[in-house]
Amino acid sequence: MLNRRTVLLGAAAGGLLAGFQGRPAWAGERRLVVLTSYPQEMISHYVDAFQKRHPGVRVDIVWLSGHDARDYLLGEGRGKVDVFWAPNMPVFLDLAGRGDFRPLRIDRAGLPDRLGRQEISDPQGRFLATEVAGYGLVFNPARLAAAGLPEPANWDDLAKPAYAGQVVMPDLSVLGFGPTVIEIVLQHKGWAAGWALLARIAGNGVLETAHGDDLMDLLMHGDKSIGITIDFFADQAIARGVPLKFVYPPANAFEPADIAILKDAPNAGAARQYVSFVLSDAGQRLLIDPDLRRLAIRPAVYGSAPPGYFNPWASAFAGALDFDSAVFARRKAVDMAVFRTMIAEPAPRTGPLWAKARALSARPLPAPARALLRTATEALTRPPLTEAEAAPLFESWRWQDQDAKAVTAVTTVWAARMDLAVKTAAQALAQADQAAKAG
Amino acid sequence: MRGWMLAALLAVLPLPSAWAAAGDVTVADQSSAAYRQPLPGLTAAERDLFSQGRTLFDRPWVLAPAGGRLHDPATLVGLGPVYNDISCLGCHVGNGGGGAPAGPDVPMHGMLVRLSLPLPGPHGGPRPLPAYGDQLNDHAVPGVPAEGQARLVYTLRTVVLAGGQRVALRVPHLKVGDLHFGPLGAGALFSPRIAQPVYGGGLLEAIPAPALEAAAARQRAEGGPVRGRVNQVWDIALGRSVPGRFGWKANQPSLAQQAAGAANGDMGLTSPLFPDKNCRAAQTACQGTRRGPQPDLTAARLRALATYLRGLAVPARRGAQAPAVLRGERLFSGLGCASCHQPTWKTGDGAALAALSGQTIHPYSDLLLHDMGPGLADGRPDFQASGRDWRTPPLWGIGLARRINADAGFLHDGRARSLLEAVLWHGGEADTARAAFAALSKGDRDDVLAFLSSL
Repeated sequence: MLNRRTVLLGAAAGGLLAGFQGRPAWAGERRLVVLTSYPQEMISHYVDAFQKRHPGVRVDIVWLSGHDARDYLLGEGRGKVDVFWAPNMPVFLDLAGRGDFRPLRIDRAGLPDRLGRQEISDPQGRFLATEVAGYGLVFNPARLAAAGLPEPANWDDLAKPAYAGQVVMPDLSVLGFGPTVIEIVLQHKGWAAGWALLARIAGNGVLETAHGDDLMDLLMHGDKSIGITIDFFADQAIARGVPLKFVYPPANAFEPADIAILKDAPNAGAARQYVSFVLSDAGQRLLIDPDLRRLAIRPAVYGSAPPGYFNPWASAFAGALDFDSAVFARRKAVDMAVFRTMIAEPAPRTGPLWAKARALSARPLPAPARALLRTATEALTRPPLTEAEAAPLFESWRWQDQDAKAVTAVTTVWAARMDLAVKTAAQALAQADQAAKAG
Repeated sequence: MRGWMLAALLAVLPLPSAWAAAGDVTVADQSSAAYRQPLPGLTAAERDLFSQGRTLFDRPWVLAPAGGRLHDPATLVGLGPVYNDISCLGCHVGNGGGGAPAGPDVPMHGMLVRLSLPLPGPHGGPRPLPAYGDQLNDHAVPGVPAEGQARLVYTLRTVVLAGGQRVALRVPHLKVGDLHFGPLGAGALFSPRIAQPVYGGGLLEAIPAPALEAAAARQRAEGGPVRGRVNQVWDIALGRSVPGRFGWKANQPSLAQQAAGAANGDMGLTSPLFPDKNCRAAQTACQGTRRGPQPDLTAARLRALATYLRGLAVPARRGAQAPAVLRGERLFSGLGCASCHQPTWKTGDGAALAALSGQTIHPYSDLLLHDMGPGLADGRPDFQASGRDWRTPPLWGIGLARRINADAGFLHDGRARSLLEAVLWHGGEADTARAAFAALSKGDRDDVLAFLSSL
């Protein structure tokens, strides 16, 4: 086990005890490179558990997210990575279509391809789901109760005037899970009504980039009561005893994390061992650790989960799912650009307008003032382009940088439309205010 | 120590009930996030900086991209090219300590091997090995070779305690190989180290330096075996030697330098304090790897990271008033453990965060160097710490160590799998206290361990 360049040292006695000549050191050891965007806790749980089971394999992690993972695998990472493992189905679909994965050829018994009507694994077995994550509302029940407010249950609740000032709206054009939340609302409501709802929710609170622990801190120690989050961030905090609650709105998506072996993986054998471990009963059970609190892909794992652990495979819930991952993959880039242009960038100007609109709507208004108020809210909730106008961009923008010239040229036009809309709303609200006073 | 002697000694010791309450700087969280909580009393601006620092601590870092920029602007660029882990949190699991691998088949995680030549370097610190630097980086970005691999093999030594209890102690032996840049060289010094817990550091930093010197003087004046010393180490920002207080050998003067040093050594990140990548001259692939904008850890980022570390609270004790715990606490003092594991300090005024100032704290450490005997010696000097010296590690929060990280180990190289084993490895200045502990009845020993677990 030791070679000329291997030395054995007595740590207890200090210094060199002996130099050894013998068999090559770590000659049989293989280096496995896993590309992932998982947080450190997830990486540590899996790599440690895997290396204990496979002592001949040493795992190196390359950490990249989203487009950057794709760029790396298609560019300088070609031939350097064995396993791609990430919650990013659009990239998996793209790379599989390019022929960049090799067939996994592992036992798929007990590993469903779909959750409800939602496809989560590749039917051809080039990539498989390893877990799913849903989205929902995390809230501080004590503060809501103190304010005499009911607990929210669905996306529409967040736009209700009663929750004004209570909502932390994440900047969905920046956060990794943001595009999925946008698309859940759009697929549930339709293009125009979906964007209108997102604009109303943003108008009901503050736009924040805080997520994860920062969001939970805000809800516990700040002055806001409700946030939008991916499920495990909230579940981890709740499992630690943080007095928050989490609810899944029925309109939802359970986006998968998937795993694949690269076609030109330098160490395909170890890669297959890793994939097999992640999908095994033991690997799947790691997901229910309180520090991870994720939703396993093997339905059987939920039998050993703590009481109350959410099970997305429960038929009643799974049947309600209608999320189309392919549509999401196609529209994601456009969704992010629309959110940025329509909601995030104008937020400093639209926030006060929404406050004024709420104040007006709480008063009895004469008909002309009501009409002006409607004009204002329509201006603030109308997306800067119709779905028909957006359609040609879905394919061409799919892998575009958000600040690429082609994108900027188009979003500049949208921004001008939104600027006009904001001015229209401001004018209409001012007139409505005058009309209300006159009435 | 005979039972009647101990009883007589305990009768004159003050009841330490005041120590059970831990002031305004503890948090009640006992979950796996217990070491990750902010100090009560941080201002909104400090909390914001704390959050930024938490992100820098938690998130994995990446190699500078081929195209010069990444789509995701939040990605932290600057990893490696050679490194031990890709994030701070990777080694400091849950902000706690690391552990030693169970045997030679398992790679180190949350652990590294310090290297040096047997000559002092600039300012009296360790002199790095020409080809490998001052620690072995066992990982590298794709296309760059790692420096080498290190594993631990153990032999067992059995200790028999009063009443016949037998305890098997692991004696670690370090195996270094797969070296890519030639032999380490004759006389090279080695020291395997597990990652240390990071909570409570701001409070330790806020203990006035004269108080440390006074503690050392007091120990000398007592004339007993315990004779702690303040390490004098180089403060890069100040450009002079100052008291060391962080690290296994108290070889770092401040949290900022401790964090910047670890970021450089463990992850290859440059900073205003450590402007060079840790690629040695012989490591051509490492030298040739592209860089992002320098430094990786800008002054603003380093400030946020240091604020995070300063702002981490200490978990409150659990069951501090239980009879067994109170008995154990008296025994702990009576045996002499508290001579080095000094229970109580007062932080000074003008600390980096207002919440740290003027606090009465209970870290159970004197932050001084002590000769811990040949059993724990690593033979590797570090500034004024000899190859037998170790800094007294704070004990606060230690009872939660395994709840935070099931693989957490104790002592500098994680050899101790339990607090009992850790106590039994004490030697040198602590030899008398260790022998007295071993001579206690099994029940009394269990009480001491119950006390330690309550911390």
